Amino acid sequence: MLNRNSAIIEKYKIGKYPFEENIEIIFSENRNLIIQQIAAWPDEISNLEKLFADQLGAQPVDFNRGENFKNNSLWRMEPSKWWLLGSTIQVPENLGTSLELSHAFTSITIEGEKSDVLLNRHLPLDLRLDNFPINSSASSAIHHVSVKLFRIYNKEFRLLIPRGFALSIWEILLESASQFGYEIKDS
Amino acid sequence: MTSQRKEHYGKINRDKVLGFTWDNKEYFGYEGDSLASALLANDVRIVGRSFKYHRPRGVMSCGVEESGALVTVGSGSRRDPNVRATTQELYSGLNASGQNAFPSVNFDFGGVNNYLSRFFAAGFYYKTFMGLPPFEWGKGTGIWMVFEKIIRKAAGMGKASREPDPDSYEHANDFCDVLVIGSGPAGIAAAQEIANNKLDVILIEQDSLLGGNSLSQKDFDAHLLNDQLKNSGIRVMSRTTAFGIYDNTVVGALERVTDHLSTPHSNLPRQRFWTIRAKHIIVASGALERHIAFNNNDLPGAMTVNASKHYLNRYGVLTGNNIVISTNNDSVYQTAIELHEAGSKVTILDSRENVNHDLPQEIDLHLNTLPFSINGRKKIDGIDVYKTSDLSHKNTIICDQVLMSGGWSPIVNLVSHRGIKPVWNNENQCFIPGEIKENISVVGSAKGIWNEKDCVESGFAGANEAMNTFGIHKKEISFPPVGGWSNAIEPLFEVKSNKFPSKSFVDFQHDVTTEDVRLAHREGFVSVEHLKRYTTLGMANDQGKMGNIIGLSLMAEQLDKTIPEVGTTVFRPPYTPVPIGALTGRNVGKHFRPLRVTPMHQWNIDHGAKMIEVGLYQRPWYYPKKNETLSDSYIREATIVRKTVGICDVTSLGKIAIQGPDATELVNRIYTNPFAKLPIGKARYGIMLRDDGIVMDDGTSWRLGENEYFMTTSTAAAAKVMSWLEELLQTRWTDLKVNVTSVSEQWAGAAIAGPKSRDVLNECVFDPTEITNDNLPFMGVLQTKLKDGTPCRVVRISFSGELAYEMYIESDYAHGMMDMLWESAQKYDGCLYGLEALGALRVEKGHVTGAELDGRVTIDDAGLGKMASTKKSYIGSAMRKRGVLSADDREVLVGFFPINENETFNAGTIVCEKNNIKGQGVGRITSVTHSPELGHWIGIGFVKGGLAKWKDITLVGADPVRNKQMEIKVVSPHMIDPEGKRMYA
Repeated sequence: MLNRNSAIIEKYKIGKYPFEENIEIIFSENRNLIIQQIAAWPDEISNLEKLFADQLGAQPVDFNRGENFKNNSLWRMEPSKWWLLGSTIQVPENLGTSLELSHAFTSITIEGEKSDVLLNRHLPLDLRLDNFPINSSASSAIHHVSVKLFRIYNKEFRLLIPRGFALSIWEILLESASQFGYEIKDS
Repeated sequence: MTSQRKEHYGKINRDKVLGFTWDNKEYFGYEGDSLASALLANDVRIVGRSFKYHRPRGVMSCGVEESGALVTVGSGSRRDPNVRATTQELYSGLNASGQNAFPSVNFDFGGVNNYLSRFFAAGFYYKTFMGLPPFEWGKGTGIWMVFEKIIRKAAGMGKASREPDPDSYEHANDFCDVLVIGSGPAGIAAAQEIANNKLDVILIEQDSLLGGNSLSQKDFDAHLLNDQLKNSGIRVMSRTTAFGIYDNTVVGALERVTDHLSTPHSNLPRQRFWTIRAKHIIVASGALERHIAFNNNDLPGAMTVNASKHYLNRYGVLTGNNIVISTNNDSVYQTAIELHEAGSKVTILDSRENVNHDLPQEIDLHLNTLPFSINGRKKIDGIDVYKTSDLSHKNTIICDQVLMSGGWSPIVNLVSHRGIKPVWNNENQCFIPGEIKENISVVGSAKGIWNEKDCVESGFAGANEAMNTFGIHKKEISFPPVGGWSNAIEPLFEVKSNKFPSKSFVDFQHDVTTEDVRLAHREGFVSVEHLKRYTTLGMANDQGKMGNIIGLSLMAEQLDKTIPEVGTTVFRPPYTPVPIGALTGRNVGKHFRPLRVTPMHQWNIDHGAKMIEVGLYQRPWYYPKKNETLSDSYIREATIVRKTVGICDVTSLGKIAIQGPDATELVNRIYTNPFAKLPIGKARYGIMLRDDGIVMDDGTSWRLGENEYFMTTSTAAAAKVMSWLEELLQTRWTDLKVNVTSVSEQWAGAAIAGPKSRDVLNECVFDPTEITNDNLPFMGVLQTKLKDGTPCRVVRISFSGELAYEMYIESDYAHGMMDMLWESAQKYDGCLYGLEALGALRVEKGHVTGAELDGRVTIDDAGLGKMASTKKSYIGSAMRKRGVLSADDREVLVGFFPINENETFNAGTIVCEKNNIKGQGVGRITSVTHSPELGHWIGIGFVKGGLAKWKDITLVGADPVRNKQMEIKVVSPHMIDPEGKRMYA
């Protein structure tokens, strides 16, 4: 098998880039991404949720919410569409469809004291913890490019950018983050 | 005016001296100064020149309403014109200069205009349209052609830099429960009350210090207030102007991040454009003091009264030694006392008959007294005054400064943005906000409340109003009444004399005088909106903050109406100017648009590709060898493809996964040709139409399984087709069990084209005997593995007309796939080819792309009518049969050759009959190339009636844009291998 190649490798320079000796943002790319999109037929949602419970131990969650497990996480991206990150499962055709999207996105973890502030430089999303609690997800846009955002912890987010736009958005994120000071960690 | 710095006054930091230059001369100020206060402290009187008459102007206010001290700050690429010196914070090294003057604002040749003012009255330039009297009367506008050049040259204040802006700007979003705009007493009270109830509050203040009008109080401590607010959990945004309120309580705000810094850090944006979404907005934007229109009311040294108090108590600058205050209201009396205490001789002219204020006996109070004319040229020498009871005898008071207060105007601009009409309050001679039905409260002097204690009360009321809407409590809301002065204001907008001509300014920057308003009325501009545009009143930098009410009062007098009957103009965003850079944010330079690259982007560059933007994509254009031009390169590449093999990145094609038991049904309904019986492992070229029967896009769909298709679309239409499928499934065919998902980013693709393409592929796949004609016939699909086991998909398909394949692989593996393909291709003397060669090959073959399928073309026009099924219904199947779409004279796809094979033509060339070269001709050429195979220039395009009509007839290619014509002939669009022997090989 070939090695997977990051979309932002040319501009992914590991190191610390402080601003006035501060570093308030930490970036890291989540390489070897695994995304399985599972879309339920409208009348099979409850059966699909049962499948998730059986195979992943997942509780039913609302739209735009997710659940983190030890090695993977399950996110309800649309009312009848889930993303399973980190692993895959078998989905019977009668319940819905399964699609591999592991190479379609570049996933970046953004953490640090100013992580939400940085994201709000670009995203018109209310990221205050009460409104966007841990395990929330959202579809939005940065610089007209559709992106997905997950909140992992209070000050830790995962941003999924369509692969072809990732380099451009990555550069813009670094530009904006320079006012806070940032670090790029090994992925 | 003789202004000076006063010891023991002001909130400036006298320990930090800041050097700056004004008109190339060095001065000093202190940290905490504005440019205006520093200039005043250095007794610089003339800081500007007016727009039309080039009259000298000094500092006239202390805030955003400034119309006199408009200056240019910075130089080179950082030169900013029309900066209000009153709001520009002083910093070390600040370099400012006067504008709209030559050689300087102190001595300006343009000042001659002042003596020609009768020729520059309102709308003078419109009158030049009428021609030079009497010679051009009734003949038109010959003279305008002369005047236009002069007027255009004279127009505009200051000069913007012509160099690219070196600074960065950014956009930002924020959210809160309550947004408070303004940090005066009312805004502070509201913010604190809301924060006490554990709500999330943002407080916006346009100034660098909090406090609003409290900053004009001697003992007010802005830093203490700031600490108190932050300790209350209030998010304070200073140096931030709320410039507009929009739908759903959204506020646009501009933060000046580094405009006050000598050497801003390059990591910081200069300004930040905020979009703040609040659940409730409290507008505590304050009120602005008005001037009074009388002769020479614009001389340097004329200023509003409250501004003088600000300069004294905030900046420690006493603006005059011998000050005359002219007023009609109570707000000036405390200022008069404080100016007196600071050492000035103060005289008050009050137009009213009686007032009950205790004044030190050194302050002269003249009741029933009006200002008539300020005396002086570049500075104030005195003022002529009248008694209201006797307008025939004027007295002169010697002074060096005249302060004016004609009343106060609540800042209703922001609520006006929401379409809320201000209501005239006759008792206080001002407009106050009308009824608001949104989650917006107005408090403090923005509501017409003058008394500070009442302002604070109104802040609490506004806060409770907000909390009522949140359901936190249900309190009775009671705002203090409008007004609050102990002596009623009397109207005083203009003082005029019929005995003497006067220049009484209403709008200082644009030199709009009271006479201009009356002239506009005489010339029939009786609507306030027309008045505004004819005189340009309210269209200057201050947008009518100072002069609008005076203009309205003058118009009311002319029309014999009241001010509310005349109405007011609608205030629109922005409240203060927003730089283009801030609007643009980071979307500049290479980030002007988002850049999209393929997974092989770097690989292509590393292998010598010259890139070209195609839509948002960066695609390989050509791969030049040493010293090759574009033409050399693409001709070589296309030749090699036809001879051996070439490899091309085709990732930009749209790719859509179609899954579900009704996938076949969906595909069959959207394509014109039948798909119902497409076997698994086969692909088919398809055309999809719009509802109106015009071609939308073409592409292929591969059947990967019983219920699964992989659709490719053209690069340009990828998003459109995806949206179209979503729309169909969500609105028309909700019964279909199908999911469609864009997988354009999931898969990377390469075309392998040429007689040796099969050999190249076999060297790359796991089983080197797998790619055969039997195993993978034309339009066959194979899901297989590369030789290292990486899964891939191969389809036998040809855009070039040669034996060709496309190989798709998951995007992260694209580099590896290209390495393998290229290593193999080199063994066959193959090449990498780019978009230019791709285009040449497809034009030779007569294949259409977006250049041909331009939204006007039917499937028959494109020569693909045989693909339109007659046995099934599909999108567009009914409408394509309309008569107009099947007329005999429709333009049909053909090929074009030049008669003289040495000649070339361009895409866009109009095809005409030889003796009728005009208009849109009989057709058009859409794509052109040099044909390596044929050895001359070729093109494809459309001609009425098609090949059958024009075969063997010489036509003319007319290219009027390039002033070019050539003889051409019409040929079949399929210029290479029309039988398809090569691609079926």
